[in-house]
Amino acid sequence: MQRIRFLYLLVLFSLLLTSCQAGSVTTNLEAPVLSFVFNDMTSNPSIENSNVQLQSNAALEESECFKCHSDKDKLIETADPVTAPAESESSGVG
Amino acid sequence: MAPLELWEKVLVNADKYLDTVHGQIACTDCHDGVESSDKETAHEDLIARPSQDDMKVCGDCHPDKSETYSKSLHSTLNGYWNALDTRSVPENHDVLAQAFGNHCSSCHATCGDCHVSQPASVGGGFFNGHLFEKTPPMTRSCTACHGSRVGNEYLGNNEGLPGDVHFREGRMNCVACHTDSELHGQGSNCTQCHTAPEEMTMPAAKHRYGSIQVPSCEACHPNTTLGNDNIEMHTVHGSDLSCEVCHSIAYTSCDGCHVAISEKTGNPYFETEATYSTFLIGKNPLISYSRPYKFVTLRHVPATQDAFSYYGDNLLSNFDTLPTWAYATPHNTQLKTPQTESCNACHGNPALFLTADKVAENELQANASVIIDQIPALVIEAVNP
Repeated sequence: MQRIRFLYLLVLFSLLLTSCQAGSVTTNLEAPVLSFVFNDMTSNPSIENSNVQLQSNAALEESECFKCHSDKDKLIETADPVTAPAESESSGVG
Repeated sequence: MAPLELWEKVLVNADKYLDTVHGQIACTDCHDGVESSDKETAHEDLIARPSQDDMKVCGDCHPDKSETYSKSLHSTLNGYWNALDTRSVPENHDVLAQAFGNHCSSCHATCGDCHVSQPASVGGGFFNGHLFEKTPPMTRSCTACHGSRVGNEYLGNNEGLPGDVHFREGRMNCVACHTDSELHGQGSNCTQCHTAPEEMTMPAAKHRYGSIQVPSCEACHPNTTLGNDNIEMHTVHGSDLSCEVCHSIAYTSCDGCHVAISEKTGNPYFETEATYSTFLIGKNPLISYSRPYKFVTLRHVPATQDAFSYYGDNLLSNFDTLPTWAYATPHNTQLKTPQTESCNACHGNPALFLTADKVAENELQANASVIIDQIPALVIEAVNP
């Protein structure tokens, strides 16, 4: 009988502790951020009135700049030697 | 996010980029340089960041943005300038301009800094293979610069303090509140949204918090300040308190920033003395039409009278004209906070108020306009029979 009473008190005490626990709030950094976008109230970009000349995809694909900058291996091969970045002399929170 | 590899920073996403409008513009139209398979030749006179110095490149197709952006705070950094000018005298402005150029101007943001690449403070490099992002990615753009206070508060990075409810529950990113119009400095369009007669005749704001473009809680929660939502505390306090007074939790304050040029390397550097967590309510130093509150949350900014002593003596000779406990809008809003627990969580609680004893002796005069003389008395709450 005493054992049952002890168990009953133990359960009651546990419930009491649980109800007193402060609600913890966590921030889930993994969940995606909703895609709120700029509420763009101004006019759309205007290519017609600009000096920009649009090119065909084929022309750009033949561009030396594009050929190199879309080729991972070429970029690795031609990269400047890595120099250790200068250690910041700043201290504290900026 | 881990820093990008060198190649990763400049790798164009070939599959997607050609399908975009920008992918139909020759590389050299924006970047100059030379069409060549030889790297050195190709990079002659290359402009790595075409939007860095003027708005011509982007402004050709986006004239409405470029026209106003050059006057926006992200471009001019006038927030810093106003504080420096106010705390100094005209004779010191040239020397301060030199210091500003060495230590502060790197915060200037260009079109590309938000729409194409990560800022240098997180190592630079394309967000996504040179694709132009209409909406800047929050953690790789906005909080990469605004990280130590706003970013950490909003994302819940401060130990023991939850992130902002708008992020935790609403997954809202920065531009959900900070609109295109605000970030691009499109002041001329304010009246498209703000149509009340008072707002249409308002003089130009002298501070970002005085601008009607700046987000406000009331824009999405319009009934709260009018006391129309049947929440007693909203009715009782009305617009006397800024929303943050009740709905923010502890936030970051900083002390004592000093700048200098390193004798060893010749590079500029800064030192801040302390960073700590605070929650203090004080008087509103910036009462305006949009922010009429009598009491607001205040954050200690790292301003100090001898911050620029490397460049000369007493350059901030009018230091006391601005408070060092500045109007703050902590980005860690919560529905329930220690303040909302009861009336006497705030009333009669000296720990929450910026009283003179909490202000450094040499900053008392600067903060005279925000220091609370007498904290609100304890409320005798009615007891139901």
